[in-house]
Amino acid sequence: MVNSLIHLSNLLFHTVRARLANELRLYYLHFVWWFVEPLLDMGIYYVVFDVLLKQGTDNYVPFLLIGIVFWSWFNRSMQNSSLSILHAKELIAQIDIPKSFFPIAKVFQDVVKQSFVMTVLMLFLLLYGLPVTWAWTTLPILMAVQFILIIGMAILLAAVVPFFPDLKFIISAGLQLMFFASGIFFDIDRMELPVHRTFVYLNPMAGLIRNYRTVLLHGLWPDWSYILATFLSVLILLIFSLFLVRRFDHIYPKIVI
Amino acid sequence: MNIVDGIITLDHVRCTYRIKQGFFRFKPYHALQDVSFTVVEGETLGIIGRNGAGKSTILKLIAGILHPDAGRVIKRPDINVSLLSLQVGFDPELSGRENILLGGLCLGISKKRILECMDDIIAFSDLGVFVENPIKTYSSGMRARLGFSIGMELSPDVLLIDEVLGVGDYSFQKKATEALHVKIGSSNTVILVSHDLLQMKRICDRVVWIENGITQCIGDPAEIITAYQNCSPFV
Repeated sequence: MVNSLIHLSNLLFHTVRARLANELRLYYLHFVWWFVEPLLDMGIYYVVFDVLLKQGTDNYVPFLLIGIVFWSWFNRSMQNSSLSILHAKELIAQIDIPKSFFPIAKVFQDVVKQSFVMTVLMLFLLLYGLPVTWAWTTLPILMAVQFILIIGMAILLAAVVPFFPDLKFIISAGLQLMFFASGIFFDIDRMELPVHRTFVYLNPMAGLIRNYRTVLLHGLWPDWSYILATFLSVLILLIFSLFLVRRFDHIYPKIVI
Repeated sequence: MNIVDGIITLDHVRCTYRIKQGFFRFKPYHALQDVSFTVVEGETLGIIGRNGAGKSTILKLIAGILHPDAGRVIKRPDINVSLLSLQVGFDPELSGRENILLGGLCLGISKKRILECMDDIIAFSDLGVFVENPIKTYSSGMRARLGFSIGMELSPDVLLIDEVLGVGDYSFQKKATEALHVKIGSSNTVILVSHDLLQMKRICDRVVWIENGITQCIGDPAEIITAYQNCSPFV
């Protein structure tokens, strides 16, 4: 068991490394897009919401960037991993491999790319002149919670999609809904009714983005009780997803779509 | 059936595929109904039967890719079984060299051993400079050569071979057949699926005949192949 786990992580490491090196060599524009796309998005929201609608907050540029960078990480990982088991069906028919390998490999590829984007974001925030406080040290904790959320959701979606390939349309609609509900370009705390806020923060991305802003923008400590509750929920999600994909492990090669 | 001598035993195995019909509906297809036989260490076992009889499904069950829906597949725990698979590499975007490493790791072989065999695999495959190109650019013959070479060089204890004797061009076929004969002559256990009955008669120690997902009979290759040929509706 332990032996095969070591073997699998070895396979994971080499797969992620080979794919990233290959992508960098052949499709270096993919990497460029990771930096350019958030900037383009930011430009659009800035013009629409700050210049035209006058709905922007204080420090609207870093406010937007923080929201976009952390949302994009989640969004891309969902798009890249949700079809991963479905797309690996030829390989699955020929090799006995734990199916969670496919979404996990995609998530790790995205983690490496996200770390480059994070470096640029941090440099920007420093140059922008935001106050650096001890609260910034909690950033890795917030990111760890988001990572568990991403990997749990990635495995869950990838596990279910091979049974119902049509789900991919629902997933993209769901991601769009979640984008609008996560307060990327607006402040959820300025919503009219308090009852709506409680409801909106059930979406872990909304709460995480709010806490990223608390830490990076205002230099304050995050809302620990919210972070703890989110951590426990996403941990349960991850365990459930792993259980599910393991349960279906030998059913995937038998599905003929 | 004597289970003690065997390293792999199929015991009344049934295997059912699920064919998607609607959003929530799957139609079952019974590829195997009732298959039983034992594989003895060191033998070369041939599996014959018509198209769709369930031959490839048997290999996938033995490789552990599929689990039976009923019955049991019993393998001695210390053996390493792998399917010599030719159609796909590990990742079509990656080079032949990277696919050898990842494919080998997938088969449960250590990185050290793969790197030791790397040059032999590349030499055997005759791919030359193509080994550095992504395998999505390969012709189907080149892919098959790569897959065959990986399976041959990183030989597991039990080699499962599905219709690969016609791999590649004439010179590679000759080389592949020779390599296969060496493997069969050695202590390796080989399970072979093929429609080339002459070749099966020549190289197999025993043959299993599968008809509509049921074991028809098992035993001496010459006898069973003759019976199979006589029973074939097209002869």
